[in-house]
Amino acid sequence: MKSDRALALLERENPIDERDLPGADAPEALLLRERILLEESPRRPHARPARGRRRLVGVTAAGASLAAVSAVAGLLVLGSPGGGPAVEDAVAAVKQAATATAASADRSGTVAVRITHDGELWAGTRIRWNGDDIAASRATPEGGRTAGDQWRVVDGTFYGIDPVDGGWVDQGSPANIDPDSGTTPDELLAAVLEDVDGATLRRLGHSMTGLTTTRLDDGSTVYRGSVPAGQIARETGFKEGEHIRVFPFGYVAHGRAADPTALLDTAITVGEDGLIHELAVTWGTWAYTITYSDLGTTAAVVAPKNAKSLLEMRRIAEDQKR
Amino acid sequence: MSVAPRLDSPASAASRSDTARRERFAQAFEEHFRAVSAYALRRTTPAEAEDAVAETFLVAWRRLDELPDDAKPWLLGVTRRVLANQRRAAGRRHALVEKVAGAPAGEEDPPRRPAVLQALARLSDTDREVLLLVAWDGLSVQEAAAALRCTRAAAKVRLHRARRRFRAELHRLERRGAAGLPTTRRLEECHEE
Repeated sequence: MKSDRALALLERENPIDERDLPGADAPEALLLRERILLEESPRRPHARPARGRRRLVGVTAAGASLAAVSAVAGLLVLGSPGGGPAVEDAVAAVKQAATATAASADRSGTVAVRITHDGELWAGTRIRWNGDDIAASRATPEGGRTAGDQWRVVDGTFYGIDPVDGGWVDQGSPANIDPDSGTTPDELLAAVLEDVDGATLRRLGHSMTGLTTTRLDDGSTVYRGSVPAGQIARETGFKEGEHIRVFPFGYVAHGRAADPTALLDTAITVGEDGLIHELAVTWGTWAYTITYSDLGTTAAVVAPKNAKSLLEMRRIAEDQKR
Repeated sequence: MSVAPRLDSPASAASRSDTARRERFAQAFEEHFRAVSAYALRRTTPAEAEDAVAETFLVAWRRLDELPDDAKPWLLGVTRRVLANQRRAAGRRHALVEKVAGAPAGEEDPPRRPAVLQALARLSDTDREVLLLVAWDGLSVQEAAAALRCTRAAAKVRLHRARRRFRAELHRLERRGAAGLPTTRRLEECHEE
């Protein structure tokens, strides 16, 4: 079969002809455009917020009324003693930091996730991503280099650890791994990008109550308050017939954090550079911390050298059986 | 006669900058609204496509400084991510796969679809996306690379592999069809292969 024929057939099955669609001058499109332009003016990524400004987010003249409504809504959501201009600034600062962090992390970044119980490391993962490629290494109290301790997805191929000899194995498409569990590499990358894309952080900023602000010696600021667990770990997966709450970066909520209404102590640390450096959530004897680094500057994830092919290993094993 | 340079006040400079930003956004919106709408509609339901288009242009407005001159691939890349987030939030499988396969997985007797769409449904998400960016969305390899946020070389390799797998699937389906065998299978069976 000639390649041109297959592609020509595919092109013929294109279900949508762009020319048949309403253009940007259609009423609904114009309405959408105007609604978007009423949003806050975009800020330049990586720009440092001016210290000591009353309002950290500039608004356009057209968007001023909308911003005022949003500010009031923010205070209503906060509904806590101590609300007022300081709280309003803090909410705006967290939102702005979330936006700046998202812009910096769009292409690449590194996060370290740690869950501790009574101060002891219970689980932890370091995740690096660059474009669609992602690498994860697990830090557990047991340590070791067994299956699941490390994996990478590079150019659409999943590499895992051989539990027998600790070497790398090319395991083919990530789509082969436990699809729709909410915890496949593809889903994890989607979760990382969604969380670091600012949606999660902005949600936390919005729903934080009892907000307090602490300035640290290194110039960073810690915004601390209470957030309903359901806002931190939303129902984002489905496993064994049950909806599961998945924390940012793949850990499943448990204990008090599994109750969506439970208020959890949350601290967001914003560095002097205006980016979010750490998100820490604590409940009872548990603590959950995400640390961001190298946003936008994390090196490319490369395929491991000398990875064995799983298909080839299977073929050899079958030959030996015969 | 010398003319002294006119100095803008910070306020008027900011206002001019704001106007320029609005014009830039409006231009991108005008030029690519149809392409972004078509991209989303090819991959999901009209209601979700509408949300995805709105979200895409909102992201473009917020990140206007990052919007390249050739904005279409960048915008389609954003739409792709927005759709992925929608799917993830809804906890369901790929809407496009359901669309091109003819029915949600699990239906006993899905309607018969052209072999070309069945072959498309059997590809991995990665293969399908790069193939459709070129075949349906009309992007060049360079533009597809920008939409997929990868290098041109990586996109070229992905496209080459995707085309090869697509041809093989189509060929297999057509041979089955010629032999009178059913050509429609449940998606789970495709995954198991």
